Amino acid sequence: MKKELLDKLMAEEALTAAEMLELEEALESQESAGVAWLAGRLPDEEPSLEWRSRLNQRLADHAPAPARRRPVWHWLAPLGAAACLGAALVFAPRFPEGPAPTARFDESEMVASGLEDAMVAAYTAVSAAESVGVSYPDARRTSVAPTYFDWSQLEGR
Amino acid sequence: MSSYLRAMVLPERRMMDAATEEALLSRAKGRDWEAFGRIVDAYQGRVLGYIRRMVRDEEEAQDLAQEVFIRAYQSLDRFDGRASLRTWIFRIAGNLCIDRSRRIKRRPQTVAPDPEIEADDLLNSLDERWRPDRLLLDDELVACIDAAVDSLSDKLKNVLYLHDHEGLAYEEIAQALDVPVGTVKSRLFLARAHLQKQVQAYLGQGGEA
Repeated sequence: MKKELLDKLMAEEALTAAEMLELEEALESQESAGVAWLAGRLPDEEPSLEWRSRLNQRLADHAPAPARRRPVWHWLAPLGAAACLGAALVFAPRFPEGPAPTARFDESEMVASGLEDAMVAAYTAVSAAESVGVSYPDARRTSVAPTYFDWSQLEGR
Repeated sequence: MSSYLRAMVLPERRMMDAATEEALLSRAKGRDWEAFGRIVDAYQGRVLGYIRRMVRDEEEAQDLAQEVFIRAYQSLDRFDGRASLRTWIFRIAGNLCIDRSRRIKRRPQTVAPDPEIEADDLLNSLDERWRPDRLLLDDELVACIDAAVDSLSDKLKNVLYLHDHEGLAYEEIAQALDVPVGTVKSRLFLARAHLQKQVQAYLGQGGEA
């Protein structure tokens, strides 16, 4: 090989077509192949199991978590609890907040319609109030105007 | 490198055929853990061997080799298949070695293989009567070759290893190192000439078995 060409190689300068041909011939020569043969027989480095284990761990840190199949009870339990809660909300008795409301009762009507009407009206009012969870004030029970019957009138007949 | 020369020079390696490699790559892109593991199996020894010769510190070389596969895994989506998987992996490895060299602020690499070697030495270094394939490769000779490779500049060592040890084509090395093909050839010639000179010197000292 010419010295000029070697200088060009060392300076990494562009080669002419003829120089490139000369270089390729040199690389394909028997002696050059002999050196390549030696370099090709340098031993590989076989990594240890510990190295591979560490690599797997580091890769796992970068990998997205695989989707695992959970046992049936893992999703049945929360589902059952949610169903129970839902049923409780739907069917549970509703208790009003704050002081219990009181039923209004028009006493004037009772007085005007006589004993029987008054009793029916009172019973209806109390039942209606109790059926919706409303307390009926005792005072009003007694506030119904008593109707007296004059038995002496019968004796006189 | 001609097919004859390749067959003569390169020892048997655990190579995957292209179809298997493509299938594994496709599955690995879909985050198939097992497929990527098989790719690591195929390349881990070669990548570690390459980095081990670029970085002499064993622990550091092992860390860098792991980093190669982690980066490969992270950037699988960006691998477009224009280069082979092998070229791509060695490109990642080469870049990591270059980054590492920059990090430790080594002086800029010179292309000349050895300051003591003059152009005239290289001119006569390729002796046609020299037949290394007839040498007995004992541990001492392998150590001599290893030391000779180690004494090369990173640029020459890179090309020599990728071509003569890993069997990458000139074009693949040019892609991996991002240099022209002509530069790959010239570096390879200089590297071989230097290696031959070192081994001949060893043999001249009575090292031949």
